[in-house]
Amino acid sequence: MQERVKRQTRWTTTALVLGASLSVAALCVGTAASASTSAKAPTRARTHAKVPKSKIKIALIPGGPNVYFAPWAAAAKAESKALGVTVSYVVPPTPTFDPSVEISTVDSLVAKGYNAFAIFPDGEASIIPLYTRLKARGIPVIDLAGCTSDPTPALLCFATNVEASAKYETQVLTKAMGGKGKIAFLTGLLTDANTALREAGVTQGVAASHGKVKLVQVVSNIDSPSAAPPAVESLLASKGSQLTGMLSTDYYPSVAAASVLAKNAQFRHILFIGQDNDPTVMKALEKGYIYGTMWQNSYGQGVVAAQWLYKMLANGCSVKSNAPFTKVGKTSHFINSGYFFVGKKDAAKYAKGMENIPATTKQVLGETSKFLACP
Amino acid sequence: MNRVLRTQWAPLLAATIIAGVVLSFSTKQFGSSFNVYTILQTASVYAVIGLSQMMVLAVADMSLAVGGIASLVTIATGNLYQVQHWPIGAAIAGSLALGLVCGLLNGVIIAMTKLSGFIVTLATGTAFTGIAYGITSSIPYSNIASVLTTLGQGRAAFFSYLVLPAIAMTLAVGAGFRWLPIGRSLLAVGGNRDAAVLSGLSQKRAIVTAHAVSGLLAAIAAVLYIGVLQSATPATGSDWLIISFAVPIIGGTALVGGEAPASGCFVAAIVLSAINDALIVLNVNTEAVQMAEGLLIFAAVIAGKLGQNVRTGTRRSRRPSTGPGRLGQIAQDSATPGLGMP
Repeated sequence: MQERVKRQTRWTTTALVLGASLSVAALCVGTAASASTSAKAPTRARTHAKVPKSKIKIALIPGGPNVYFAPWAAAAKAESKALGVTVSYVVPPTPTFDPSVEISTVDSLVAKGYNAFAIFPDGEASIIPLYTRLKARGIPVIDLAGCTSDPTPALLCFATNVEASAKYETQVLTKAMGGKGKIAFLTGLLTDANTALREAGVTQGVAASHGKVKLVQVVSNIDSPSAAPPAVESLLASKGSQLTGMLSTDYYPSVAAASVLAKNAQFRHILFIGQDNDPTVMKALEKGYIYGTMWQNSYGQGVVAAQWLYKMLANGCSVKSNAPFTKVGKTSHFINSGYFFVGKKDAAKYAKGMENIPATTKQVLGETSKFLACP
Repeated sequence: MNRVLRTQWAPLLAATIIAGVVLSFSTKQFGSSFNVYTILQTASVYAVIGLSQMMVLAVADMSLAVGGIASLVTIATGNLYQVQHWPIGAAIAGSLALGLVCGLLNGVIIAMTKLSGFIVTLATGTAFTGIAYGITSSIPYSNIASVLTTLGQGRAAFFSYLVLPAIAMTLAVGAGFRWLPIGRSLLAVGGNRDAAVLSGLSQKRAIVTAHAVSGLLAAIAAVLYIGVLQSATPATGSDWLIISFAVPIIGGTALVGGEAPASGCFVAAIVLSAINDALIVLNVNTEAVQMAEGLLIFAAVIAGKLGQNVRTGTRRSRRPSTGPGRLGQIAQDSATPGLGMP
């Protein structure tokens, strides 16, 4: 018994010493990082006084590890090279898009001297206290790919207009179905504010058919690799014979539907439009197993965010209060980053590339003066 | 037959079969060949995930790393096949070995430090997931070998090919607990650690073995899932936690250890899969799906518990004499030479 107690004490002591050593080491590294940058940390007001190029550090923060954000990494790298400043793509380690993890990630970056942020908000309201703190320190922050609710300290929101995109997707499907039929809708997490907007968009698209198209089932909360395949298969098993069309506004339901339709010819009378460009989706599209997919401008989001944040710091630009923003959902400072439909004839062209709409990116950058006032 | 009727999951299975028959008559699609295939396909993966958790529950421990191991193994399989160009057999073997090593690592850390499995596997599971995301930058591997997609999505009428590996795993685990000395020692250690140690069983060895096999089973589930989704994504396993506990618990595995019916896992997996399927087939309001699942799981556990109480009462009334009890008997039976020292 005594031996066991001794052993436990030994392990506990070892663990404590190890933990303490790691903490001290981390503290030293952190202190060194802060020490080297704390003097550079901005304390300006929102007017964004000019910051020397060498001190500009921009961070693009996705909600968590997700394939949708991957083009931001390429955009950050390209813009870092083009602008000659630090532009980093930093992923908060939270597969569940936990706001607290995102907040601590941003706080760490502020300590390391990052002074401009484009953030996908994990929670439309829970992230606002962080934004308020950033604003108080004179650090510009913009919403990227998702919006916080008004009133928000975010200077603007640059994202896909998911409601309009879902409505357009429904209308494309309706047209392909000959203007009538029964459809089902596959969508994402109920906790995602975008899910409600997407559902609203689909409802509007269906309403536009004046009763000729019926939305017979909505299957939500299935944007995960485990949930999507059985849900899609169950839906097809029960409603497959009566469905004319099916659409998805999320990644994994699109992959699952493309995969099931590729393997099960008996359901190919259903016209399916998916979302994004997973190779399974693109292969199914090339072979004609699905009707199309909706394309977003992930890369362009990263480019515009980096360039505008750079202008705010390097040139002292600020966001115009009378800029031609759109009101979408709970935000009135929205700019659409673009979307379009990719059908079979364009499948090969888009099969390999990352999600990018250069024309929209160019157009938005061309309208910079409408949104930013620069001295 | 009597033995089957005495199991904790028997009432649940009976209720599911009755509900299934009723649903088949009221909604003809529920009994369709494709729908039965869908239920069996999902249940097969659920069963292996459940077996993975059951291994550690058997020794009164738990693993929060089942999903993390699955994530890492999924990425390893995709990477070895698509990037390193290994033959698919070698890629799968390498990935399964990785799962075994991950589980072994958990077991060794827990056994050596005597830290709670909850803490250790929480840490390692998160680390495994982090490595998987780090390797891939969140981008899935999509070049999947046809043998995996055939296994994951293939079927003969209503029979999903995935049922075969799931049954094989269930039988192997069940046989291991029943006939192998190490299997019996796991149950003995889980049922009563002090009694097992006094009987000459090694607690450390039991914990390490349980976690190692758990890691291997999580890896098998991950490889099966690659075929289902036709994609090797690091997000695999991200929502396995609830399933990994629900399946063994509904199947009759004791949270305090000592009871680990593998067949119960398989039945519970079918029940859960059928519930998920029925909710979609019946077009239950999607906002209510999660709530309905939770309530049904709760009802299933209560039903199982009531059934257990009734059976225990029946046994007591039949056998008034006292003895070493099931756990004591297992400890005595398992205390064979070569199992290690306490």
